Amino acid sequence: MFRTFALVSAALAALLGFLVASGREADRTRGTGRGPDHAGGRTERCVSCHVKPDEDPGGAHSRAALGCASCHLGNPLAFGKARAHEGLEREPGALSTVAVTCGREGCHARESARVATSPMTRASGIVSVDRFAFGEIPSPDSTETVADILAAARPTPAELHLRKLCAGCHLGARRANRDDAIHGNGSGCAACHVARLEKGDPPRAHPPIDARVPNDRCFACHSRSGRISLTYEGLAEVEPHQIAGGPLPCPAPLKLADGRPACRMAPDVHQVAGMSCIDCHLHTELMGDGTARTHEEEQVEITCEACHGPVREGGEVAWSEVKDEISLEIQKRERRREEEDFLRKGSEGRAPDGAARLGRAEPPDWTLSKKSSSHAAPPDARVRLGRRGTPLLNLLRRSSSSLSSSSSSSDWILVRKLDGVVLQVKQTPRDANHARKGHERLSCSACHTAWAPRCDTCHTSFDAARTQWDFAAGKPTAGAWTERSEGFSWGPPLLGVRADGRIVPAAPGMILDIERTAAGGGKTSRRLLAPMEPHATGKKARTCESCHRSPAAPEFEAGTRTGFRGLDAAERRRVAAARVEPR
Amino acid sequence: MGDAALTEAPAGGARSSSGDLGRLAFGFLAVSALSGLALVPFFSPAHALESLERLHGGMPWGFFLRALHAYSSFGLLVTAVAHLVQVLARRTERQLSAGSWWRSVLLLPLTLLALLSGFVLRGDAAAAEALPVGSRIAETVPLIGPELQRLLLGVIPGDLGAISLHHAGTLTLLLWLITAEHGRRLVPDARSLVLAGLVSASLAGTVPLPLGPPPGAFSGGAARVLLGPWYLLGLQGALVDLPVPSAWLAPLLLVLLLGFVRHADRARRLVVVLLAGWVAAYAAFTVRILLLARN
Amino acid sequence: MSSRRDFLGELWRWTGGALLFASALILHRVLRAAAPAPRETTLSPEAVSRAIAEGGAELGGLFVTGPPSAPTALSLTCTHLGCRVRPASSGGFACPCHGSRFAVDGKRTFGPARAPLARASLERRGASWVTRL
Repeated sequence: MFRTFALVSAALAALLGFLVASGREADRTRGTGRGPDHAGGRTERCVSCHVKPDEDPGGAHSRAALGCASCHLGNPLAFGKARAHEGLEREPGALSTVAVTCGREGCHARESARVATSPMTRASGIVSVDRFAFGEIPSPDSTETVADILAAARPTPAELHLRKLCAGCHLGARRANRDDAIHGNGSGCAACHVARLEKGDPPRAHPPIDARVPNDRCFACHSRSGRISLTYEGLAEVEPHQIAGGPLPCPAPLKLADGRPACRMAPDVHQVAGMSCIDCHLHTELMGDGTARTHEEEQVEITCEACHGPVREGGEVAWSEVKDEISLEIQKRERRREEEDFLRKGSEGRAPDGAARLGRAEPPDWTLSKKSSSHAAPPDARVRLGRRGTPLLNLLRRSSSSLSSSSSSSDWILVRKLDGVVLQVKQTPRDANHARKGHERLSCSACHTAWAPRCDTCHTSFDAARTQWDFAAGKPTAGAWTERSEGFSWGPPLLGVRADGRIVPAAPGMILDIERTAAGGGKTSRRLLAPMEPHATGKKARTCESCHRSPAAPEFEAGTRTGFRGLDAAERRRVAAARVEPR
Repeated sequence: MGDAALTEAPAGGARSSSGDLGRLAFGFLAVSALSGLALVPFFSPAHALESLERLHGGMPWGFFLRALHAYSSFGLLVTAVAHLVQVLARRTERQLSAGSWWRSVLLLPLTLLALLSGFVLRGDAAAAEALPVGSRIAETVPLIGPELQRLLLGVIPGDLGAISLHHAGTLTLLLWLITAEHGRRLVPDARSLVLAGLVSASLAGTVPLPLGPPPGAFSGGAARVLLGPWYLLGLQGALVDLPVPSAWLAPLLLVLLLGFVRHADRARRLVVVLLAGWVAAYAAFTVRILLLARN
Repeated sequence: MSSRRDFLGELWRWTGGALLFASALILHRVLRAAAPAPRETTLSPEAVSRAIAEGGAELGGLFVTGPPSAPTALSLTCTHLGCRVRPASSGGFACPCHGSRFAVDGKRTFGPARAPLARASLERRGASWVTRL
């Protein structure tokens, strides 16, 4: 009796089991078999669900080559969505996980290691100047980074100021952590190398990944503070009330994508020539070169002279002397890309300028001989170098005639990195204007900067009653910092004297009153100047009067100085401290 | 002695219900061995987790086959323990000759080793941690520790080849041989086989069998307790508080106590009380590790 | 006659025993010689410098940290039973198997482990870093 009961109940239970299992089997068949389960020779089940063509970044990072998990982690072996998405990285390239995504061994380990030392990651210039302005540290040259600020257990007023207003602009800030209205892009590697999705794109489309970084990536951050991205494009930010019949001539007012009003000005000549940020700015200064520096001006490698001359001693070497591994690799990659383009389009379909693109105009043979680990370039090929010796790979000398190392004006060309268009690079003439006595210390941009934005009346105050987004907490917290300005103006840049004696444009970046009473401490008034390249290069130099007659030239506050000659030796030394306090 | 046991007349309880549970255990063993045989073509020790993932999601009814194998093995363990408890309760251990009893007692650790090796063969994160733990425990056995460890786990660190051979070969053969001797038949009876098959199929269909994340998977979050197989949670809990050799001393003690049950006349009660104490301690340590995992 | 049979039986038994002993001895020798060689890990200079820049990071089974001139590696293998310890939310490392905890410098703070996590300095070999952990 018991045996029969046991048998019948077990049979019924087994039947139930079979029924439930059939349901799961049906689910399983629905969940798979849509696409392949391999990518790049590895099992990668992600691609069996993620089959849509727009879910593919394409290029070297194509889905077929890398699959998804190489960058997005998760479990590429799993079938179900939940298990497959365990440990998923929604933002590959974010610096907290970069070591296992973009920076994994065999991919971009070297690059991601360098990025740790990039000023865009560390932001120690902003941090130390801000803390110096608040009177919290004795010198503006500290090595504190934004990571230190975000980790501070008991933030000081300056740290709170940075956390609330500034800490979103560094490569370590994750997407959830940042104001999308300003940036709308990822962090870490993705901040620059992943294109922004346009409005018409499918919402889940995978943006392409490219080493050719367009200007809008830079614009996302650098249209703030010094506003060099705005200035470069010929845009001057103004306050809303300034457009409506203010004293400033604002010929064609417009609104930026994020709503800030701006006036049209003369763009930088390089912008007019169609050049992008990365045509000048080198990978070593942007992505870091392994050395951590506090200030931006220490990091920048490119100089006007590097392209336009006069070339400094050792600023130009033979190709065969370039030993820098990264540069050699970039050359190789460019050549490969060109060959791919050629195969895809055929010789007919090439862009008219393309024929003269890297390595075609002049044929340095870019092929790297692995055996000798040196490249086989013509013996006369020369290359110009940045301040720290990084070769400018898109600056070439035409093969034309000259075999001597001296360069005549027409010899040098620049290849635009984004589209391969070739531009002629003019060399600075050795005429009377450039050999004027007493002006030896002037930098190119001191004279050739057409205009620079000025924030005359910055006022930063703290309101303890309000809440504001805190980039450290990742949510709004008590206390809000507000920046207020009576209005922006523009004109020829102020000039300052750099520590090495060079006279350079300087921005009154930190002329401000800080009310920090509510955040602790008292009211501070600072007059700080920072050396800065405004990025509004003009063909015509500024007038003599704009320096020698304008009280605004040597220092911001009008009327207190009579001109450059008015600065005595002691004042010059003070100015020479770069971030100066004239009083 | 084995010959003697086989020819010895069954002393009564061939039809007793303790015999029923024992036969059912044999049935589970058979289901487990057959389903294991069916799994063999899909499993590769070098790509353990990947082959199981593929089987799980990529093969028709693969998840069911794997669950059938697992639940029949759990069924073997549960019915074997229940059978043992019943034998102790009914004092029927003397139906076996002394040699056969001692060998039968060995079935318990052998079953556990077979199940544990199956757990390790999953190759997921929890299984990957079980490997060094087992290896370190084996090393603490005096005199033969390192040799025992290499014999059981193989000489290539992290390789599952030796373990899979023991799992499918050595342990299965030993279990079958000793069970056959113990039950005095080469194969289980049809009823037990069918019943074990039905119960395993029922569980395999209704209760999904998990598979963990790959061992190298980026965890991102903070550490949490990785639980071992459910039947060894007591051991895992014990290792939190007791020295490492207790991991082999305690099972050895259990085997010795069980073996001595047949020889102890007056002390039988004491031995059974000690056994009950052992089980209680094991249960307490199981609770301990579960509490630790919850925090 | 029977004594002779007994003797032969004994001989068989003793020979069998000796054979068994010899086999066990050979197995023992084989298994003992099969001990894996001490492990040596080679780390790429990029990975090491990145780990240092981040203030310490996991590289394989190691946690690499320290000044750029003399980086050190901490073995992430728990000294209790060999599970891989993970960074704990409360700082330091925690073992997922039996709940041992270690401070950031590898010192044992809690749990059944007795010894601190193994620690070794990295040595330069060519461009790479090498450690015996």
